[in-house]
Amino acid sequence: MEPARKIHPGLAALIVIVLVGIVATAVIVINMDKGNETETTQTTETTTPVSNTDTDSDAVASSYKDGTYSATGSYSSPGGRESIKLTVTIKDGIITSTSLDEKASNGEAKEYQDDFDSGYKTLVVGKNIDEVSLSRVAGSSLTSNGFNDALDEIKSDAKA
Amino acid sequence: MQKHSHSFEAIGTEWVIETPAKLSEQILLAIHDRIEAFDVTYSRFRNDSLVHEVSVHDGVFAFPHDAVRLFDFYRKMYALTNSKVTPLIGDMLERAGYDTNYTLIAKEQTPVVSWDDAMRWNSEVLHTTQPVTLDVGAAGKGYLVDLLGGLLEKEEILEYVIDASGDLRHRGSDLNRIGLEDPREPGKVIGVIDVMNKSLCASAVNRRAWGNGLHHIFDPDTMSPTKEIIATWVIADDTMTADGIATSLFFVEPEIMNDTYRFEYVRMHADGAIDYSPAFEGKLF
Repeated sequence: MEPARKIHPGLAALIVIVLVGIVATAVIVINMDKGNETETTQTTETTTPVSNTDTDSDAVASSYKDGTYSATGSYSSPGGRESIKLTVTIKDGIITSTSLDEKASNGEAKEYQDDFDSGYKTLVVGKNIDEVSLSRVAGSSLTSNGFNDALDEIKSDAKA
Repeated sequence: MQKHSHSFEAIGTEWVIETPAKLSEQILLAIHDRIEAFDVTYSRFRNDSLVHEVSVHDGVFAFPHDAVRLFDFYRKMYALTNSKVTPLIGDMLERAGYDTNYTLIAKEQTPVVSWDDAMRWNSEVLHTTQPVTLDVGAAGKGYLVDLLGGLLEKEEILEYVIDASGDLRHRGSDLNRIGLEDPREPGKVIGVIDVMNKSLCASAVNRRAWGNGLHHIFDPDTMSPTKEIIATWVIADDTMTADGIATSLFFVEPEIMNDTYRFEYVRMHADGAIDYSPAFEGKLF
């Protein structure tokens, strides 16, 4: 059995930041609809690593341990107390996936959370091509000389 | 595998064909003949093409048999995307300056004609009611890649990569690790995906772009280039499907295409955010 791991303080802070962002978004949505009729609070209740796939890749400059972490945040809505669980997977110091698990009991809050989840996206930072071993690269099609020449001409005309 | 690369420029872009053994002169000739036959039919960038003739007068036009599959696919995409992906976008692209002479100067736009008003396909025979500029940019290059793949396979060449710069078909048992180029910063990749016995098509708005925010993927409804999505990558069993869906995902949510076609995707939004299919097996950085 694996020993319980302490979560890295930096990661905990990160999750809190992400969660506060999520909760803030949910709160704003609710407030907009309800015309600010309600007082809202936000708290981060638990932060627990749920599994760990540490490969001891310490050679990689990484401040976070590999693994899957989850945290639950809750907030008060007009329909009662609602919570959102966020799961973050870290590999080589980079967030490789995130997922939201809504626990809304109240119908209206559930709808807001569903809306938010479907609009949730991942951010990427990218790597330089020479840092990665690749057979080839796929992006927009290279253009012909004819197109490039015409483009250069347009650009120099625009400067003239 | 030991690899031999054959590189060339055709239909306005760069091509690489990689095979374990060097391709014979005879096969190379057949490849170039096949590309020429496709280009002289479908290119709106040359004045001797069949598509050019269709843009000059209305009437009845006999296309080669390969048109059937291409325009059947276009018709399905047209229906699924609520007529946003249409081969009739050619006139709008020309008016935007993306024309035979690469004028790259936009003129005033007018709406794209509807498919049923402008044309009817009867197998490979096209009937038009008015001159129309067909543009097969959404799936044509992918389709040509498949046609060349078929040509190689007929010659018993069963391991190969055809990379038509953004549209790639792989067959064989070796892994091909493909970098997903960052459209905001060519020279960087936002992820990698291993492709084996599949096709991968990428579409992005960074290279075929000109003038004031103009690029080659036009929304017929707004009469301007798409804005929300800046790049798509699609993996499918064949290159035509991957290519067409890569274009469609600039206009519709992936779920719309998912009922009809099997594919995996990654998309980059204008704000740099990424969305991707649940079963996408690549890595994103």
